[in-house]
Amino acid sequence: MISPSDPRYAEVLDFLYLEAELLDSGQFSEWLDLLTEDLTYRMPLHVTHVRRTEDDFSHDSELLTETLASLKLRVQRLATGYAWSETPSSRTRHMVTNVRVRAGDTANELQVASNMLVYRNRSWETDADIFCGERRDVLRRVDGSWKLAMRTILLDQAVLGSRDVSIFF
Amino acid sequence: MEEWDLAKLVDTEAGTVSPYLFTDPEIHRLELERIFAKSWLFVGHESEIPNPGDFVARVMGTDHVIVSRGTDGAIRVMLNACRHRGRRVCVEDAGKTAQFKCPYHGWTYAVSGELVGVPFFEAYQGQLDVSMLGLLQAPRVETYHGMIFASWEAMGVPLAEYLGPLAWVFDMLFARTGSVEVVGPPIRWIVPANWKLGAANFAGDGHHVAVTHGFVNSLGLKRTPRGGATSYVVHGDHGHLSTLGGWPADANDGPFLALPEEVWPEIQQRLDPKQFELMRGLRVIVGTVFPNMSFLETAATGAHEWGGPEDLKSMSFLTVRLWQPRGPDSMEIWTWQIIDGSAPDWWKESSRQCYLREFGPGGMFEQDDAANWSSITQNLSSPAAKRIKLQYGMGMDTPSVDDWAGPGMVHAKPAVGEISERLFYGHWHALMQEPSVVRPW
Repeated sequence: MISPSDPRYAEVLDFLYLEAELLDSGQFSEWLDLLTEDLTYRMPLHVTHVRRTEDDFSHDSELLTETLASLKLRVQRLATGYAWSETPSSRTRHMVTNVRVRAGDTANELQVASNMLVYRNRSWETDADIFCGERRDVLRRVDGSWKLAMRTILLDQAVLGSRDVSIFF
Repeated sequence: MEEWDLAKLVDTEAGTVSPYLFTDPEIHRLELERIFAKSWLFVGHESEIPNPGDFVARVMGTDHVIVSRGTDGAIRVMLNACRHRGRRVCVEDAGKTAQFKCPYHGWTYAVSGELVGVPFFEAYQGQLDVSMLGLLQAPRVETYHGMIFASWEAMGVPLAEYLGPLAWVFDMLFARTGSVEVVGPPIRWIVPANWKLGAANFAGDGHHVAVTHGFVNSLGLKRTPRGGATSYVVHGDHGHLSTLGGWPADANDGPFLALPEEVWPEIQQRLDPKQFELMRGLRVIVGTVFPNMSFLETAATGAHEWGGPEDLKSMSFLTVRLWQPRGPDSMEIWTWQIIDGSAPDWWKESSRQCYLREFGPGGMFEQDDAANWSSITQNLSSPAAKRIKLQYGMGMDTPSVDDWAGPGMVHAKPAVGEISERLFYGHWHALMQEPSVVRPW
């Protein structure tokens, strides 16, 4: 584990907080700039077993299985006037906590785990969706800046209590 | 006294449907009795429980059930409720077990449902007949091409007869290769909408696509133009509907529903020549098995974003889903992807990605459907909204087809029309006016 006194820890926090700010303010194109060309971005399905194991997530059934290209398509879609799930736009708040940083596979990479609580409110609704879970990321230093190279979003819900996953995490 | 008259809720001749269908608690209660308690209901695919001892937890209407394969190899569907006090005995999605043990007093059931253990059995002083107290079994369980259906009604038509002409469509979807299987466990999510909105949409609403899913055209991801292609609406006696849409004759960018060439010879070998020739020209098969199971196989352009290689013209996927009622104003959608195991690995992975980017809670198509159905359900609950007659009158004169290659009643839909929705709601209306199953209490 890389300790909070390591300068890289603060850089990781800066990265995660910037991401959250861009997502919560709808600056999705700017968020895409933080992703590497070879990004993998997935939200596997949580399944219910009596005992919790790593097998509790299905990598065949996923709520999201994305690349940079498919995320760009999703962002482009929002501007078409036909993205009804995001009309009006969701109001989100990304809470990012419990950040754990570990050495990555190469000197240029870090493994970053964080807890997330994402609140989403829409339209005139007074109920909100809560997406709670853990993100397991790989950050890579590209041309002096950190970028997201891999993200696996592990939701705590097995039956998603929201009508869609139309936002980014 | 109800605010509505059951006999007037659907008028297929005028092409109108009442808002009460999507909002009323009493109609929901009657649906559970008069439709879900009587119908064949889809509960899963045989490939999910291949071995003795395998089980999955499922829902029939609102009844939680266990679907298991016994040591005798037989598939059974049983209410997930202890016969002692009613506690749920299976609390996980899937697994393999020798027995289910109730955590309350310890009554224990074999994977096939027999009651095999009762703590303090002697204290019943010989009065407990364990042979009568196995988990409550659905009296009828049948499969068709690996698709498992169950019914709580002891009497009724066999599954193949129930499916009617859709069995012929099922051949093309679920028996075209010998390796049809599910991809992973079902994805489930809650949509605050009435279940019928999903079922009727998949029954054959083709004309929502241009607007609801208009982003596809906006982004230049347009599927092959449909001009000149006819859709065939297939239906029978039990409320099921399927629409088979063709490629335009001069622009078939993905013969056989864009399935990979590697599986074409197997399809030819296994299907009737008429089915094989029909499939050659098909772009989409969509439909609903009444009441709440739907299926969709559709070809997408090979845009890289959908998961296909850049040089591939079309990629496709096959999904099966359940619209599970949770009350008049909420449903739990269950979705499975079905795939031909004999297809090349690269194709299967591309198809999986294509499917998940278009459908499911994260799907760019499905999330816009869910937005529409949720808005309808919430919006129609108000008193003034009840004055609206919802319009399903498009294409009243949709002609029937005489030279159809398969069984069933078939209509040709030149472009768009609402014949499928009228037939769906018409069947719903007929069943709702039949008496309920006799109640034991």
